[in-house]
Amino acid sequence: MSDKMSFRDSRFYPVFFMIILSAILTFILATSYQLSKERVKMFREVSMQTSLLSLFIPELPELNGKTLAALEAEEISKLYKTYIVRKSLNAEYNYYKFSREGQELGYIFPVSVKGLWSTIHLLVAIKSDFSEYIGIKVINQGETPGLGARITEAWFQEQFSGKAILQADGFVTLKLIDENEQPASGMIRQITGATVSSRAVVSGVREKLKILYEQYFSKKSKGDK
Amino acid sequence: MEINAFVIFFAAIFTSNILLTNFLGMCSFLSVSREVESSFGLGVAVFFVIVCTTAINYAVYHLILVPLDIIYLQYIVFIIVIAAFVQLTELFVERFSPVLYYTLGIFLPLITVNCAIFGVSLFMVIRNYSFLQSIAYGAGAGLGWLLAILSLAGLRQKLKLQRVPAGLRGAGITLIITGIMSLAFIGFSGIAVIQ
Amino acid sequence: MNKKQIFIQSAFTENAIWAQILGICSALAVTNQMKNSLVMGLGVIFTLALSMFTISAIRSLIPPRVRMMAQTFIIAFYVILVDLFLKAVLPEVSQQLGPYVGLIITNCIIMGRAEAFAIKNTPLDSMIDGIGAGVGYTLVLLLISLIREIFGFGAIFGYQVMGTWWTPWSIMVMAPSAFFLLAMLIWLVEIRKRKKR
Repeated sequence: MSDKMSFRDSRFYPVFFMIILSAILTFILATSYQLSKERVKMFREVSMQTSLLSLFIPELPELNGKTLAALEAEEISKLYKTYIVRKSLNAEYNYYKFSREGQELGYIFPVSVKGLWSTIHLLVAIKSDFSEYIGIKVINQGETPGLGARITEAWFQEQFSGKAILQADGFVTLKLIDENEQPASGMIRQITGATVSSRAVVSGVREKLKILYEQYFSKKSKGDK
Repeated sequence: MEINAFVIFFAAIFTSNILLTNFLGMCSFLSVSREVESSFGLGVAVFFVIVCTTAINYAVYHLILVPLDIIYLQYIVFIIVIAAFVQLTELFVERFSPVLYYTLGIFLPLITVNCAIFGVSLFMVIRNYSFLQSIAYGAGAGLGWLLAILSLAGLRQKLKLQRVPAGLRGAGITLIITGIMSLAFIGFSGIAVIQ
Repeated sequence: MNKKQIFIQSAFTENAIWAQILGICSALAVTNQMKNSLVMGLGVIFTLALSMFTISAIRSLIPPRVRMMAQTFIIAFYVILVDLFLKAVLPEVSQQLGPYVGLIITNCIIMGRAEAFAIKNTPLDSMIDGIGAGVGYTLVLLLISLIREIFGFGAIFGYQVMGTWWTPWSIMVMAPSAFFLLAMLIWLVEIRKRKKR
């Protein structure tokens, strides 16, 4: 007993205590991290596939009115393999092609735009002739929670479907209006208190599509190859 | 696609002030803001510590945590870095500049628990900032915090002579003033649109 | 003091937010939506309950000189567990909350309860005290976010409750409203306290 007391009073006891404490805590954390790692990784994969599929929900007869969230991970992967093919444009850039029964229904492009604080990563689905948007999906962002981060909300993203991209007189610029106003055609309701993030999505996506079109998809650039 | 460091710097001071829009560093903000001088001291100390710890944490994160695949320990590591840095600074300042120690040193222990400092390190990681961007963000956040606490202290000194409803005295009225300041700072966001 | 009294005292009479203005830093920012507030609140309850239990259980072993350091370690440990859990089970919420989960570590309530209660009471009492403090904190967050979400979005927990006639108040979505609402809450509590005297 007296031995123990003297060790407790020694100068090394605090150091010893901290080492033991951090060893135990770190060990538990490392174990739980290892346990959750696979799950997180698998989830990321499935969630990417779900995001890609979610842009083409009306084209998926298997759903039968169910939502993608109701499906198991294996079913998602199966759907993904049936409909979506990954293509590469150049060494760094990949895009996705959605086709059903041999018919090409649209492209999905990963697009990154500058938000107020962070780079916003989106998936943009469009008709293969660049005529209109099929939909957009924000997959990663670091904007302010409750403000800019609301670009992930469904109503904001759904506004894009059916909006025109390329028309006879060039690339269409979508007009931003207040969140509470009634939108007419060619208008996007922006998020209250997050003008910069909303604008970033609208104009960033347009710019990226324009570049992609001019470099790779227009008749002229196709003719060059 | 990199956001210009200058944009981040000014946005962190004005449009997205770390205290007035992210509510970080409220505890010391409310308790120290009674006097202008002490607020200035604390503000400068916070600014200094934010800039330095952001730089250190950036290095630690990208040179140690990422290569070893122990990102999940970032919270503990960041807190230790901040605590250790504050302790070291305290020792140095005490040793080499007693004058500075008496003006700034007393605030240093308060800083370890200041969420603004820890918050800046976390935002830096989540937003995937480069080194330059991180420093710009840290400096902007620190200056913004200094600006906010100085203005509040100035207002509170005036308030001493005013008649405030009994139930609002102290924390209540301070929060209302902070709210009004926060409203005023939102006014700056008209400027941010021109990016 | 029995267990029930401990709970009521730490949740209501000594509520950290309205009686001591502690710990608002880490969570006020997410109070414009109830779902986020609830998740943050649950995270705080979990962290408080278990870290108070742990700190109290090993309180006689902690050397006084590194007491604060050891407490921070234990708190950070539980916050990391919460973070890992959210990432694995509720990844979308974890993405939305961003850095605010990590900021629970610097929440002054937790350190405050550790210093004021856990360091001198039994593990079980400390745990109840922790849960009480966490519940009180969560209730305040939920109250503020209820008002902000109804006025700001016309919704409760994301479900639209106001009709299309309702014009949302943008101010309620933005930061200043949280300051004003908290001030009102403190005012009301103060008035009640004064009447009782």
